[in-house]
Amino acid sequence: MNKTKYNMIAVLDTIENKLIPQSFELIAFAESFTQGDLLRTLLVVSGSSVIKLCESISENYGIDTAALEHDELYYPNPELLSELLIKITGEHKPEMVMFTHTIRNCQCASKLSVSLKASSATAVESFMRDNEGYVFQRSVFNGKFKENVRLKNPVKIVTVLPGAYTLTENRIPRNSEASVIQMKFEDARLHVPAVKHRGYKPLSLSSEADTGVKLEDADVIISAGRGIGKEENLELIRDTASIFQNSAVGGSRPVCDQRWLPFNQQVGITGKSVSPKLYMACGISGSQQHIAGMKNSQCIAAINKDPNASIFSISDYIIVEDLVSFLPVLIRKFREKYGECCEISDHPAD
Amino acid sequence: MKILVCIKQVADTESNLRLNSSSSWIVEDNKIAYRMNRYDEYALEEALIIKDILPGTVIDIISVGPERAAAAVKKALERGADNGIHIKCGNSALTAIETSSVIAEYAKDRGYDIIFAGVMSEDLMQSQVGPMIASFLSIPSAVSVVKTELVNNSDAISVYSELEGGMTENIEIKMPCLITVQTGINLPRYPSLSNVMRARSMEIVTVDIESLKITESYEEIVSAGYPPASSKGIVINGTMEEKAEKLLCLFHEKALI
Ligand SMILES: Cc1cc2nc3c(=O)[nH]c(=O)nc-3n(C[C@H](O)[C@H](O)[C@H](O)COP(=O)(O)OP(=O)(O)OC[C@H]3O[C@@H](n4cnc5c(N)ncnc54)[C@H](O)[C@@H]3O)c2cc1C
Ligand SMILES: Nc1ncnc2c1ncn2[C@@H]1O[C@H](COP(=O)(O)O)[C@@H](O)[C@H]1O
Repeated sequence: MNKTKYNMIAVLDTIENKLIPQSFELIAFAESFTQGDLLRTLLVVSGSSVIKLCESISENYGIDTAALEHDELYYPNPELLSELLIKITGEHKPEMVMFTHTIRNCQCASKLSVSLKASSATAVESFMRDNEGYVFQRSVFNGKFKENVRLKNPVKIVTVLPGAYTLTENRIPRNSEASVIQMKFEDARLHVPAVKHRGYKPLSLSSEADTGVKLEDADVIISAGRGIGKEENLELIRDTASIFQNSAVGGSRPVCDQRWLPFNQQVGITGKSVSPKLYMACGISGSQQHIAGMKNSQCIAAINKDPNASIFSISDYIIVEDLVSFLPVLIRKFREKYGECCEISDHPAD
Repeated sequence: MKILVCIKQVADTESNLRLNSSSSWIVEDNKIAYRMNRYDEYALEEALIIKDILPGTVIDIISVGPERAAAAVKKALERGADNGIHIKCGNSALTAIETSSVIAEYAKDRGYDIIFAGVMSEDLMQSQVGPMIASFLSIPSAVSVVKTELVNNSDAISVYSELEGGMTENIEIKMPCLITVQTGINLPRYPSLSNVMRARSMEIVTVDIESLKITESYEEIVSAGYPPASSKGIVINGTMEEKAEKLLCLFHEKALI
């Protein structure tokens, strides 16, 4: 290993040795945090075989990059990854270790926090520096409020919310000397006292086979949230969809959890990412996880009875109404003015 | 099998939540409705399903929180859990490290095979308490689980962990372990009348947080605030009819209808 002591470690985790697209946002966060001086920042790329990937990252971004390799990191393995990171962090004693905010990275952050007695905050959206140190901002109560958290201990760990920081290529200072470090771990060389990851064995990875409706192909998506109240009210959503050409019905997670809609119609971070011409959110509060899947829609209309619903902060058209009374009026008005409704093709194959 | 389920009582975000005058936290008064964290309802149900399969299973419930949190423990007993433990503390916004350290302290020598928690609390949204408990106890943890399968004659469980972007990872995890449960994994049952009756006579064990070893917080909540108001959108005003007409007009202008 080279002799630089890094004070910032950004962990870019991979799935089957491929980065998730948001990984690079960490560079933007690091740049902001270090005020542009990335000489003592180390990008740690974890996987089973990532040295080539590291070479290209280091060349493109001019930042020191380490390949953290272990055969069992081909599939996500936060248990093992955190053991390895604890080792690396112990050596460098950085001020900050950061991850892209995902559920598995929250697991890593939590394990690191306990082992290293490090302060941590997940899903951070921004930070402020004051004379006592750093305060990080994050959402609480499903986005109703923000809280400001001070990370008090010398080592700080954060998971950065995707979308909070964006990387603009030309801001990156290029350090042509940036090096690539290979950290190849085998269990025998892991002198971590309590290697418990043996009790944790990733076996395989699968994606849901996509059958039926292709939400991504619709021009208009009418989406139902928990605010529809009961399954029967999905008819209102379907009827609303029928006033548009090439429309489909989507839903937030709770609607799918209750099996009112099939899971492949769920929009959000763990569902579909969509960008239709119109996305109409009915009775959806606007959680981060939902917004992640629809914020790139060309036009967003939202109907919610709560005037302070977070969904309104990203909406083009805001309607504060009870959807159960409003949607029938909308449909009636459409018929009066524009005539017949269209066929909708979104009924799941049931 | 011996199971511990971690349950948090949270303020319902649809009850009238406001910040207090010093913007340090929300106002906690009788206008606020409290309920069981939704993720934890699914965690509890997953434990109950195991008990249906393995009838000798004992399910303990633990909740850290103020006086009112006992109501959430009671609810869990009504669903069919066996014992309720309420770790009583004045502060309703303990940080993840504090909460997890006391739960781990309580759980450490009690021989739980599985500890269930939710993926996230709906108020603090940390997604940390579960894995931190596991870390304090040096047991493996699997997060965001959408399916569990007991493996015959084995101390392992096969779990499916949901990844962002629509993938699921199958993991074999050895007990004792901690599992954080994602919504949709099951359909939580309604309490049966017999369980409701049974729960009535059940005592909840109350433990004062002071009597447990707590790790002092590494973080401090400095303040809270409202998110910045939206500037981008058009608020459509008028009667309901007018709103509908205006919206249709806007859609028409954009050639959406
Ligand atoms: C790891 C992880 C992944 C997740 N992935 C996703 C995901 O992919 N997609 C997703 O959607 N969620 C996801 N979630 C869940 C997410 O955090 C929220 O819980 C969820 O999005 C809330 O759905 P909702 O807005 O429908 O319900 P709620 O938040 O309960 O909101 C209901 C809304 O309806 C309004 N309302 C109620 N009645 C009416 C009425 N009569 N008329 C009009 N409005 C009404 C209310 O004011 C409220 O704003 C995930 C969570 C986690 C932890
Ligand atoms: N005060 C608490 N009492 C019991 N369990 C809790 C408490 N806080 C959090 N948990 C558990 O930890 C999970 C994740 O919470 P969090 O880390 O705050 O997002 C919750 O779903 C609960 O299962």
